[in-house]
Amino acid sequence: MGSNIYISASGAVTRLRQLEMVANNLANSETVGFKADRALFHAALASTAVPREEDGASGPPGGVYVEMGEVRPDHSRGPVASTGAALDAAIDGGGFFVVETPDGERYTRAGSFVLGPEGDLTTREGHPVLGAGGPINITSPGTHIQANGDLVDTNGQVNATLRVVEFEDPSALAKLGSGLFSAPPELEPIEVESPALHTGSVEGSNVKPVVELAVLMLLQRAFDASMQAMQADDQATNRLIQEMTR
Amino acid sequence: MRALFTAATGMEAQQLRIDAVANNLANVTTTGFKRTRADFHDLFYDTIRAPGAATSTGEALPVGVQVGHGTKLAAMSKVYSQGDRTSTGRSLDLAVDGDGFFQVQRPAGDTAYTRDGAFRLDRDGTLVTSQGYAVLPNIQLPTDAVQVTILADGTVSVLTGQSTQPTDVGQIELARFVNPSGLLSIGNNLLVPSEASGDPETGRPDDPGFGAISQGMLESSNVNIAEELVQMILAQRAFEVNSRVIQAGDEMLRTAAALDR
Repeated sequence: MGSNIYISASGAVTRLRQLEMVANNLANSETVGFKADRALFHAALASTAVPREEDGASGPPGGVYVEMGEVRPDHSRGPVASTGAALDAAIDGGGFFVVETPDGERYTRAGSFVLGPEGDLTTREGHPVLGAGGPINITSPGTHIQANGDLVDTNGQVNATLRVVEFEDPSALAKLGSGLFSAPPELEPIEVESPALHTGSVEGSNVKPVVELAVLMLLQRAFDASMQAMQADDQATNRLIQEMTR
Repeated sequence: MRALFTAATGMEAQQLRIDAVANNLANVTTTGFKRTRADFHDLFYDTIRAPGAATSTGEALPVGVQVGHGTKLAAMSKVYSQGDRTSTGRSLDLAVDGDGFFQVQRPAGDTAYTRDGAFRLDRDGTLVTSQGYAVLPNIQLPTDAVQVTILADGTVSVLTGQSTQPTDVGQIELARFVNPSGLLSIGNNLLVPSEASGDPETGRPDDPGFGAISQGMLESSNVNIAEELVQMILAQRAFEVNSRVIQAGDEMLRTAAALDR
């Protein structure tokens, strides 16, 4: 029995993992500020194409084992939907809102904020939203977010300004759930001096169900093909054993 | 087969969204009703390979592999946008134009808050809600009142008997909250404060930060039918695609299970 069956199995396992990714994308097709995950095909097929044993003396012959090389969130902008809420904002272009968590600063595109009982501006999960001068506290009524990130009350008084940061390579950010991203230590946030926001709106999920369903169909067929290859390999081995032992 | 459960979280989320839409649509003609919006968040991620980990060829991965676990409902929050005002011509129908809630006393003695200003008089001439709960502060109209006037600032005055001079009989006060979305709905158009809403701040209508009172008007529900229908279609389609993932996962498992035949 050669290594073929393992090669086929690695393909099937990769497709299962890809199915999990598609499932997560589709489950979040209506999640505010969600970014779809993409497994890059060339990476999945080629990046780990290595011979199994380098000395070549023992072990199966080299083959192209497939594993999912990388999953990158697609940071393209999602559709902007109007909500009419005064504390909702969607970022036009790149960048993230900054949120304070017990583990440090986190970043989000989900600009759907609320006021805590003491007037602290927080995310829906209760994490404080950071402004240019730290956490934002609002006591004056009727405060709303303006297109430049200023929080303005009914008298036109600017009480705080939302912080918006961007990254040289946003694909290096890790997802934490709840719409939050964390940056690796070597990736420094760059402050956006004059952000452009869509106010009274939130950024929807950028998952495209049609694309996901197409991926779903392809991966299903690829899985079936891997399974058939395993079966064919198994049958060949079986025939070999029968011929040899006759 | 995590994908099955992931897709199930998506289906459950869309079900809850349909629930919110159904309640909004059912209350499309409810006075002072504020629509509910469902917000979703992604669940936690499993890091299968961290960014920067070494590959089998010894290079550092620029990007890792993270697989998510689906979605969850983050909040069902009320949207406190102004509803349209409809003229009723009834002198005890009041609408708040701007921020603020009417305060009413519940039978248990605690205070509830409402945007529904369809008030009535009980047999003693006290201003009450349609359930008979007294409006706070209590406003007592004389039994011989022939005409009630409520001004934008909440002053209640009446003309009695033959008199041509109006007499002030009370003052309507409004309450507002830092985070009205944190109020708890208890039905009957009533809301009660919670830990999240903060404490009420009372004041006279038309003062800075408080809305003005319009007499002879009621605030309609702020549910927009077209928008709810769009939400419904989106929820339905999202539900469908999630069920499609479950189907795909099932078929793949079946194929795998059929291998040894």
